[in-house]
Amino acid sequence: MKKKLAMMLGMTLIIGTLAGCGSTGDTGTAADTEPAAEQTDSGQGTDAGVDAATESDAASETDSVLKDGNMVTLKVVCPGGTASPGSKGEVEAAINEIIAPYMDAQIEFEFLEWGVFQEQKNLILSSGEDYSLVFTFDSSRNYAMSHQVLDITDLLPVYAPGLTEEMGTYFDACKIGGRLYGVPTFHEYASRHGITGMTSVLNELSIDPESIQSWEDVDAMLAKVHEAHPEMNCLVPVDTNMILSGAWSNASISKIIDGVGVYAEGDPLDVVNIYATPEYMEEVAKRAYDWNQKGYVIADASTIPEARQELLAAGNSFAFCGGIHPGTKTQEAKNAGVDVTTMPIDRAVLNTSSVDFAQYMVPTACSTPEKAVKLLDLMYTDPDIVNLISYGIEGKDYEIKDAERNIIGYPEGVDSSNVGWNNETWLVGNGELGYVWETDDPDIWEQYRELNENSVKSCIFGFTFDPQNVKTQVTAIQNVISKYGATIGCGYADPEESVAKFVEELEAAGINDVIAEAKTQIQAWMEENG
Amino acid sequence: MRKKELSYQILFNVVMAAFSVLILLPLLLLFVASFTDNSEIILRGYSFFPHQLSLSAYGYIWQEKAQIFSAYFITIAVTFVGTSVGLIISVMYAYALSKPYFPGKRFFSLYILFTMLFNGGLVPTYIMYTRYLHMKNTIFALILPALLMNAFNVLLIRSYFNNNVPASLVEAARIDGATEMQTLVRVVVPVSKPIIVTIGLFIGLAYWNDWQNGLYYVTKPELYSVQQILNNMLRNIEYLTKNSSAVQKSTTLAGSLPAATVRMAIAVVGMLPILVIYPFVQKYFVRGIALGAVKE
Amino acid sequence: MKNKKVKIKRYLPVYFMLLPGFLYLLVNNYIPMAGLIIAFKNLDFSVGILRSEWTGFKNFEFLFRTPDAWRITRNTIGYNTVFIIVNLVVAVLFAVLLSEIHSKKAVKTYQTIILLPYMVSMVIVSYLAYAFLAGDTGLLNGIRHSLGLEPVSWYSEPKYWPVILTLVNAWKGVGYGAVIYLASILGIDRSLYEAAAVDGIGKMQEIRYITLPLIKPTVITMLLLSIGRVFYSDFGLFYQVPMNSGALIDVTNTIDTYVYRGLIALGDISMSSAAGVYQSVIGFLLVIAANWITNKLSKENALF
Repeated sequence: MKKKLAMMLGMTLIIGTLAGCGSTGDTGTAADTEPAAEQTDSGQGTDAGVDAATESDAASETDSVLKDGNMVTLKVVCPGGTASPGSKGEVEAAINEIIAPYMDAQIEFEFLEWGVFQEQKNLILSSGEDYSLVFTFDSSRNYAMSHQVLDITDLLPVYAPGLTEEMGTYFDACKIGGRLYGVPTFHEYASRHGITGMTSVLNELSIDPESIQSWEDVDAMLAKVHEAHPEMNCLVPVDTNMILSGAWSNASISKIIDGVGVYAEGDPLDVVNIYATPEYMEEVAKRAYDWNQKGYVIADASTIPEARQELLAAGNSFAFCGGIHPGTKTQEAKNAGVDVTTMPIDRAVLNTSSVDFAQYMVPTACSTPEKAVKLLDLMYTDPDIVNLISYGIEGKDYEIKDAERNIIGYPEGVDSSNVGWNNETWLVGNGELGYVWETDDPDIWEQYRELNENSVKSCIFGFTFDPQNVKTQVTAIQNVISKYGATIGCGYADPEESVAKFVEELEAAGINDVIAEAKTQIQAWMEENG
Repeated sequence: MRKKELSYQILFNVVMAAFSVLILLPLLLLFVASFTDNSEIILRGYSFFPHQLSLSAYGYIWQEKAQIFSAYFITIAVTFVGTSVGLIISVMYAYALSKPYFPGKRFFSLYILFTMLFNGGLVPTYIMYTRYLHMKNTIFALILPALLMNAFNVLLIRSYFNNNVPASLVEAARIDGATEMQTLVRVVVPVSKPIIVTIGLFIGLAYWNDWQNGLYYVTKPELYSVQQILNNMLRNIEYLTKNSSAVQKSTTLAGSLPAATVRMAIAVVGMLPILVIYPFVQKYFVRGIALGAVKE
Repeated sequence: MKNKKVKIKRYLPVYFMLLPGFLYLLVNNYIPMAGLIIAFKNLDFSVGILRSEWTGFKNFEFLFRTPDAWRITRNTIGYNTVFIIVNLVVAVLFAVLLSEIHSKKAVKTYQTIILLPYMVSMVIVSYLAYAFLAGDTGLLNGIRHSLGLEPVSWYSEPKYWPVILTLVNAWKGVGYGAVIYLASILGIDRSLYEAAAVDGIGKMQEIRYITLPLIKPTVITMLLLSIGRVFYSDFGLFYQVPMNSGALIDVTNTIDTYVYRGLIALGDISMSSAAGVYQSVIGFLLVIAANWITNKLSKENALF
């Protein structure tokens, strides 16, 4: 009796829970955009045509949607240093004033602390809560494939024309099956692989950083440092616990998914097992082994828990290899508390992943996607909003130091520990529109733009791999890479022997299936994109 | 006889003392490390006898003092309410299961056992508590999910009731006309103090140590518990040191951060409560409930 | 029918006592359990979990169709078996000793110390382990050095790790078990010991013939409960403590770490859910089997 009752009760609740998961009831709009999106999927050209024809009606139509008299709260999820910065209320109020003429909406930030951002963000995206914009700094691919976020391709030109114009060239990188599920923020996309070392050591041994142009030069430099300071760790690992980080391949190989890639300027259909290439053998396995044998590498490099900036700050380490862009010097120096010099070596290549990793997405459960997209538009085009989101309130959180060059800094008595607002300029939308912090190069944004524009574009720039059919192989491959990647990348294993075993296990894990699948998908992508 | 007893006491104490020292050594290292200079740890490694002491790790935690104090209030409230309610419903469930017979006993045993083996996973649970019970960013989200009652505790209490509480005692109470509730409260609970205190301790520790509910359901700092602050701190450090290229301006965590020692200090701060509370709890860990005497 | 009603009425107070727990488990465990169907679906959040497309057992494939399947299963079960036995033996030993020691102060001190490691999170434990095992700055190699021995590169030598992991696990978990067994010993009828003392039985016999047999039910309960979890592993212990060292993967990769490593890039909820279902089902079958055996041997100690 009781059992039956319990079961019935359970079932009703269960059905309620699950059915409600996806769509959020009263909003027709979120659901409506989807079939529309699918219809236009077939013809690429038609998009523009339709837009042009309806342009005259568009203005009044967007107005009626945005100024519908329904005051909604647009919740924006971002990572941040603290969950409730002191100026939050003031910044929100100031932004509300700016957006009021455009739409009936208010903004509310929800900052998730860096260390817990991934988990909390993923929960928000899977739960069907009504959020308007969610930031991500891993590609939108996984969210798009499980439809946790909306396809905003058709909303963008209508509700965010300014944004489309501003960022249009970079949209290509974020498209998944020709559709957009997120908008990348503007920042430095490309980076050059190279070495970053302590300025003090360079000066002491009078090494001219300009003279370090090739990996042979690096080798010679390390030899010199090692000779002068045998007690010093010449090389410490970077984020991935590798001496030669994952960035090694960027110069020549574009990664499709871990372990699989193509040559950046080669034939896109020539998909290879990255770890079986001569480049991996020469530039990673052999070089790391050589350096390790010569005693340049810190002990326990593949497992050491301390981060590079701690190691540099402690004063017994010289350098690390990794990606370098114009902001690297300031940023590493600040993090380590010591002066460092960057020596870029490889060329910069623009890959899909260089652009698509930092994006704003509109969750499927968002009740007013049009307003969310309009807000995005303003975040990429309105300098006042950009400054508010980047730096907070003028006079309180920052003050103008040099009006002519748009340089700002902390006011008297304010520093990083007590400032009411602290945000990253690369997650603002288009930080280029705003002020420049006094510790950065005044022309930092021009440098970024230059770097982005002068990078070599990979032959599969804009292609995103769909792992759906080869998930089993991908999980097995990931495990094999965990086994060998760092050990070889730190030079702890004899290159010939270990790389052969590595490749053998990758093949057993099914890497050839992934390669075949990638070929098929790239072929289709190429046909679609001419 | 007495002499023999004495030699046993010496033997037992020596064995326990030896194990205690072994267990304590890593903790001592942890404690010392939290007072060591960060650079020394990186250059020379951890040591029981550091050359340079430093309070900077605690100074770093102390920056958050305002928040930590209000978080203590949350933690204490949550622990108190959660432990009391959790213990009561666990003991009642266990007592019912310890009955020799009632219709549906097998169902209720399996019902609780099942929850130990199967769970719906994080996403469905999260949806349940946030979308249907609207508990996100409320204090209930720190009390209800996952911690209030678990099969493990209930089955341990049941096992104790079954094996250490004489059936004759319960029977006698029933004959005296006591209701089930009275029997439980007046007869069974008093002779089961060791297990009830033990399980209460475990529930209490689970609440005190919990940061997961906070991680999943709380994003408003006003509701942070102590462990959530400490855990966020720990994770922010891990994250920021490993992904420093992503984070340029959140400078509160810049190079001067004594990461290695802060981790240890966080662990010390997290362990303090047990050192404070445990002696009080141990009062109940006494033998000498001579049931033979009660029976008569 | 009437008879049944009378019966139900008679047991009403018992049901009343079960009710709060019953409702809690319903909300906290059973309703979300419906989410297990995620494991059999290709999740599409735009239509909701219920209407997502069924994929049968496709999400489970990655657990079996891999050259590592055997190794991760062996590691998971192997370590758990060793952990269960070692922790049981040491915890019972501690509990017995603690119950026999007369000095209250000493008992309190020991008891506090053995429970302390339980409070330390695995992340911290991994740093402590590193303090001992680091290649050039570690304490163990320091000791080896002073003894004139060659340093060992602990994080690249798989052969030491089964022992290291067992020690770390025991260090962290033994206190918990010991407190439970101690509670159980303290609940033993005091008069039994008094009678034994009158008969002039020695201490060792007393432990052997009174204490151990009387805590057997608790031991059996604990065993049955841990058998249900032999397909699970402590992620922190197997991933963080070995510092995710590639050289150790053959002896440290378990089902949980394999799933974690494999799904970092895919972020696939259905697949991780499938792994959970797999672990639960096996655990369930093992508990059923173990309980069946217990029922045969000592009926009163069975779980159901």
